[in-house]
Amino acid sequence: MARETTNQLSSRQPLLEVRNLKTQFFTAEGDVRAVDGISFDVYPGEIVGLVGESGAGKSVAVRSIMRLIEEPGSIVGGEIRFKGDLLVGFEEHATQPTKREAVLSDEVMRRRIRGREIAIIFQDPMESLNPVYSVGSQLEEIIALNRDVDEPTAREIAVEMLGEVGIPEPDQRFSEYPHQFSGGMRQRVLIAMALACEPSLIIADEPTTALDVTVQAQILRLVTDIQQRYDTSFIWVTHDMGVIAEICDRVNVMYLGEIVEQATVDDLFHDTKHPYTESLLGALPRPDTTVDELTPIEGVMPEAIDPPPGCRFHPRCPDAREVCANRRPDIREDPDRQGPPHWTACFKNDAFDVGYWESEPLDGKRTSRGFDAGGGERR
Amino acid sequence: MLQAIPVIVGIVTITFFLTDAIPGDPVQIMLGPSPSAEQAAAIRAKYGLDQPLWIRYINYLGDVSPVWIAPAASFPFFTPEFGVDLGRSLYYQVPVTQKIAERLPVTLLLMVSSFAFALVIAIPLGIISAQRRNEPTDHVSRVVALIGVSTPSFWIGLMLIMIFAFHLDVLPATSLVLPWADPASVDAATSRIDVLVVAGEHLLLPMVSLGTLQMAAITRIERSAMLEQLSEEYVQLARAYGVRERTILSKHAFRPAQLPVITIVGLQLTTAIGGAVLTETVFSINGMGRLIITAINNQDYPLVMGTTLVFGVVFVVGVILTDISYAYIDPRVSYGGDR
Repeated sequence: MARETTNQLSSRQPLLEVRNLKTQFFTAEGDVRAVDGISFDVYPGEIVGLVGESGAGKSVAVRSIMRLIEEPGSIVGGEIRFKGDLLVGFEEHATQPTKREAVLSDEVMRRRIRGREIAIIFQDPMESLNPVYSVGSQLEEIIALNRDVDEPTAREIAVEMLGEVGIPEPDQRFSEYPHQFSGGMRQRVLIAMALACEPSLIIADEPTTALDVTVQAQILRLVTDIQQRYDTSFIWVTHDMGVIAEICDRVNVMYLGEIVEQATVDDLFHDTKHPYTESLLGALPRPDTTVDELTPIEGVMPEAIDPPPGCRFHPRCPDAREVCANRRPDIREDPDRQGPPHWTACFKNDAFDVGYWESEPLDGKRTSRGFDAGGGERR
Repeated sequence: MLQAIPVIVGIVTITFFLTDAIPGDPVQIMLGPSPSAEQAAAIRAKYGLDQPLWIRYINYLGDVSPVWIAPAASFPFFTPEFGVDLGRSLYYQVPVTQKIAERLPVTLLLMVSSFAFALVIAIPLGIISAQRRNEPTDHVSRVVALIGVSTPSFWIGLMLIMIFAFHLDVLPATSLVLPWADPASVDAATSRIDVLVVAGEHLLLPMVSLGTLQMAAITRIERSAMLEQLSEEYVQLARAYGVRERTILSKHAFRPAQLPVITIVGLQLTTAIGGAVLTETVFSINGMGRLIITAINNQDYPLVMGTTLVFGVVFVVGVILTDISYAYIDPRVSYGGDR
């Protein structure tokens, strides 16, 4: 892991810049704002986490980066830059979503970016391999396509990569079919596929969610090991704070299509700012604290089709005050802060001067569940 | 494969008793009105119709099965009996096997060509339709398919005859010519090539009329199977790794999509057999379909049994071929293996 280099990251060029990305799904019930203006960077060689509850828009966000959003969804705004190329770009302040000229064409996107520069690992290894072709032939095809090598060489690389990701007897397993592999083994195959293309960025869309805990631990070890050797950047999508703590350098916390907190993994766990992140951590068993009972987050996440006004988390927020119900916080950096940047979209953040502390707590809400005190103790 | 044997025995049993249950008497049909009692009894004895039903059934089973143990003349001994004997046709007065050998190739030619016609049109149409979902091309192909499945094949046949044979006078309406027929026996044919051309002309209308239903049904299945495949995660993955859309259509989504298509082709075999009877009647083709109708009209027991049995075997073979293609396409399906 590249945790020690985090402080110097700001001086380097980001590999991927996502700015104000908006992706919507146009359904019969109305427009679902699945991703509603998120921004984040990925620097070379780091693992960036994207964490949130199911339905927060994590998968849609990463699929937008690859431009894999299908009908009835589409990207409607924002900008994604990868190594200087514009993958997504819309004119600001236009009434209709207007694509900019410099945006890569579909053909260039397919030939130069997909697989070759950005590879993806999907959530469900059981569904991600074609059941009627052998595992080896699928790997071989993708490698031949993205590495400009002929088939015998692609085959060699495939066998080598299968061994690399810990599949025993890769020569024999090469010609076997997906149904002859266990879930963990299939996920290894998909990781091998991603690595074999030698991309600069691998997007892992909840790759361990469908696996049991022991296999998950093996896969995480494998990935951190590989990440150090190849120096590939990762975007790691998960809803599991434990996985985040284990492998990520920096974390983006998503709630209902927005990023609500962005910090290094140390800051996020030890200097938690956003009440939503606090709630997520409160719902997680931790070896360094003893609690009688885990605290679940009250209520369910509202539908992105009709998000609540003001701060989207305020109906479930233990610290919500009147101002939260009326005004929507954007994500801001704490002005007085020393050390690595830490962004939060919460009026408790000193960067806002909207009178949070003077505002009345919302009716029927407890003012606090003692998270402030708890946060202090955890440190 | 061995499961085919009880199926065929079942077909023989059911048709045997159903044929017997048809009202009317073959002897009466053969001899005309008011025959003498002696004559009728003689005929009955000649064809074994005087014996009780269950003895006739056992005897027929013995005749039909390739291997059978028959009681020998001296009772406690049995002699093995080999070969298939479908008996003699009461109406044509020739062995049933001879009649079937004459007619079966015609019907097989008609069925095979109509399936070929259906597949050649339906598969590309279904794929294009799926790829351009909800675009004009898709709507047109869906309407065509819907009309195809809801139009009876004999009506299509009659319309084709009216348009192409009577009004336009470009294609013949009757008498199929077999492409392997002797040039000397075919009008206006002096060489092999001519025979093929003439046979093709004669085949075209019946083929289209029988194949339209197949074509429409397969198009619908191909479209929905491709649509399902195109939303599969592994197709998404192929897209995410920069595989060409054309390759995805022709390879990644195509192969798994053929499984439901094969099932439908296998099942359509039954409709095709029924359709062949109608098509042969409409186009006056002397195939199995017309043979079975003649047999039923004349209460020709051996011929009804023989033709039904052959259709039964054709269907069973079709099902076996379907299963084999399943195993060929999908590695998860295997026979006799331990996986």
